[in-house]
Amino acid sequence: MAAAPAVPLLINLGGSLLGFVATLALIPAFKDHFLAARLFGEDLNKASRRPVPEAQGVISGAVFLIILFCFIPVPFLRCFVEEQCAAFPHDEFVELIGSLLAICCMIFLGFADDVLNLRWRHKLLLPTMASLPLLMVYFTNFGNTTIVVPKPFRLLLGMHLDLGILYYVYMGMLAVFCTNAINILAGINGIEAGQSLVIAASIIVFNMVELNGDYRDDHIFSLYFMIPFFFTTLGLFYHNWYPSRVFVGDTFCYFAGMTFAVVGILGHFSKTMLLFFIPQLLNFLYSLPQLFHVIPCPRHRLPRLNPSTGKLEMSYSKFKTKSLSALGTNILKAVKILHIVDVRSGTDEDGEYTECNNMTLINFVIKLIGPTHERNLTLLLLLIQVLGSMIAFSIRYQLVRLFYDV
Amino acid sequence: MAAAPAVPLLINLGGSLLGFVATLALIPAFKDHFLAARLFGEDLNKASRRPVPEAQGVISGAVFLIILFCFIPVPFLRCFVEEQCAAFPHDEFVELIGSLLAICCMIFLGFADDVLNLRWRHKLLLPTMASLPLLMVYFTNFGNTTIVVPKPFRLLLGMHLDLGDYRDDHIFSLYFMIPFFFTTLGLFYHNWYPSRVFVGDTFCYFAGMTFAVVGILGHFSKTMLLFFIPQLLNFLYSLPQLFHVIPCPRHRLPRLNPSTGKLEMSYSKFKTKSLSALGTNILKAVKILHIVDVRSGTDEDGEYTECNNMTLINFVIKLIGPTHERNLTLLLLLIQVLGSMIAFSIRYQLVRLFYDV
Repeated sequence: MAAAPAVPLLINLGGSLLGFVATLALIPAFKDHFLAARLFGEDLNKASRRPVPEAQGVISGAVFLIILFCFIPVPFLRCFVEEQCAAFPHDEFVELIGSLLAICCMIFLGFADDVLNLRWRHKLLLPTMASLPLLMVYFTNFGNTTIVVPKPFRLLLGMHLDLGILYYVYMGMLAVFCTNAINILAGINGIEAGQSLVIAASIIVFNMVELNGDYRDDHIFSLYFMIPFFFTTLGLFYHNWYPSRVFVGDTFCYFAGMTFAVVGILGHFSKTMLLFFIPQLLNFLYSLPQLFHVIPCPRHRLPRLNPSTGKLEMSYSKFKTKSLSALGTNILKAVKILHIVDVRSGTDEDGEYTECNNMTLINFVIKLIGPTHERNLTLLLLLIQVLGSMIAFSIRYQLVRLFYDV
Repeated sequence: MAAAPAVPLLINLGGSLLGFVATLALIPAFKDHFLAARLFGEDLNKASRRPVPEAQGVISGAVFLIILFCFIPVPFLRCFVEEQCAAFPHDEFVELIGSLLAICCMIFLGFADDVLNLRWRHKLLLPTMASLPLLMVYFTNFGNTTIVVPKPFRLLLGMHLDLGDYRDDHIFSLYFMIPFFFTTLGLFYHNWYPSRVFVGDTFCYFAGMTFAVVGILGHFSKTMLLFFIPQLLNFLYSLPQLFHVIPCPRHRLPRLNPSTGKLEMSYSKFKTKSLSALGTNILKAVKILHIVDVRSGTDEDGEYTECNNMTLINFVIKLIGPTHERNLTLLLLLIQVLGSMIAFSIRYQLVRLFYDV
């Protein structure tokens, strides 16, 4: 493809702007349906206990799908209108449809999770199932499971390494990771949609820079998804920003995670994409002891409102000191010495207890800067997300020379 | 494709049997989740008002999707394993994925309808949106909107070329119909009288889209519509109520007579004066033709008219009298089988009147 597909990209942008307006309008329009269906939550960090419609990611997701359904023939019009194709590019068409299948399935399963309150193990199974079409398309279109080995490992592993089936495991895990990583960096108004907007914008910038490179088609493909995702999420963010009038739901986290995984895999830039997930990775690593229940993990780990100051403070996990395993006790000792977790002990009517702050990035930020107003806290975390993307770009374009020949 | 694809079809069958077992097991397993989500209904024709889980079509639909996701590469393995393909049949692959996209979207929107109780106009919009991928795939793969003109019209319209080999189309259809049959069988086991679960609008959307997909991409939509004869008759009979020319209540299902334990016709009751001229004439006509039971009377609100709700089910009760629910369903399923037999005789016998076969 010699010339940039300016026309399809412009049509995609136009459709995405319509999608922004549609999402903006549809969310308040369906409010009563969600309340009647009892799909609402309460904002635990507000004094009022007004019901807040949940799972609104289903609306932005449905709008996203409709835009892209209508867009399906657009990149291929040149084949019909001016007969500019030697042969119809079926493999590109398959990628488009296969990606939409994975994303559509994910939105569906995500919405089913929000409605039926499925268990945690399902949160790992569902993205895996929804990625199947993606893996099948990859297998059929590319089937390439060879990676270029980073420089430091070349003496050991050689220049190229064929991962075989492990490559497919990696791709399957990518969707599971992206969906859940966004899902656990959550709990303050606007953070889930906000972090996704920053990641999407970063990917869009990356794609635009790479339009001049050797893999232009991959990046155009990615833009076809990222632009509508950005604008429909922007419509959702408008209603979800502090103070939230709606919540995005697990539906949104699944939808976002799968869309990122799709463009990363079929666009062949999954490592760069993961660089944009640095804050999510840090949050995930910091959360590990609680995720594996080595340290007790309460249902909600979001920061806690102090009603008298109106600011958010760290939330704590409280448990009997004796109930901790040897591993748990050692971890607590280590994080206390490193000053990365606030650990306190005491005695009450039940006996000796220990408390530590819930190990999330949000709580860690409060630990560093003290109690903060919710809006400022979210803004700060979004700033961290932007900084993370800037670091990602410098790694990708500078430090990369240490690992690969570019 | 010279030889019949025995291996892919057998794998499809095997996966479908697994799907049958999975659906059978998952429906009771998720019962509490549905009740907690308040996705339940009441059986209006039973004395007990026990909550019955609804929207179970979402479970059989999800199992169907998983079977087919795993099945995606199977018809194409011959290209990788033995390199039996000149070039990879991308257009067939596109049809498979595009069909799954339409069906997946339909199950999703159908489930959203069951959860959010969307309005009637959405019941027309949602399937249209979900078919978009199907239309795009058709447009791209075939771009062929030529039909074969039925004989009586050929002098007028001329003759068009029909398409080539049909075998691949029917294999494609089997890849979808076999899993659909077995997952629906699993659902049917729990839904048969007396229903422990209800299928929901989700199921109706799912079924309808799956049939449409195979009919369109398999190029046998006219034959497929022949299998819908009872549904067509029910639709035609319902038209006056669907367009609200005759008042249409929320539920038109037959009504239980608690003393006999049998189902009787349900009626739509309205003030005689409130009917339009068109409505009055339609009622006169159907009364004369004896296809609707029309009664009049006077009560404290004034003069009223009653007619049985115009559904095929009520019509069967009109013909044979009050019937036990199980027998009524069996009879309607028998009518469906008869309809299919008529469809086959039309397709293979009478078709000679319309086309050269």
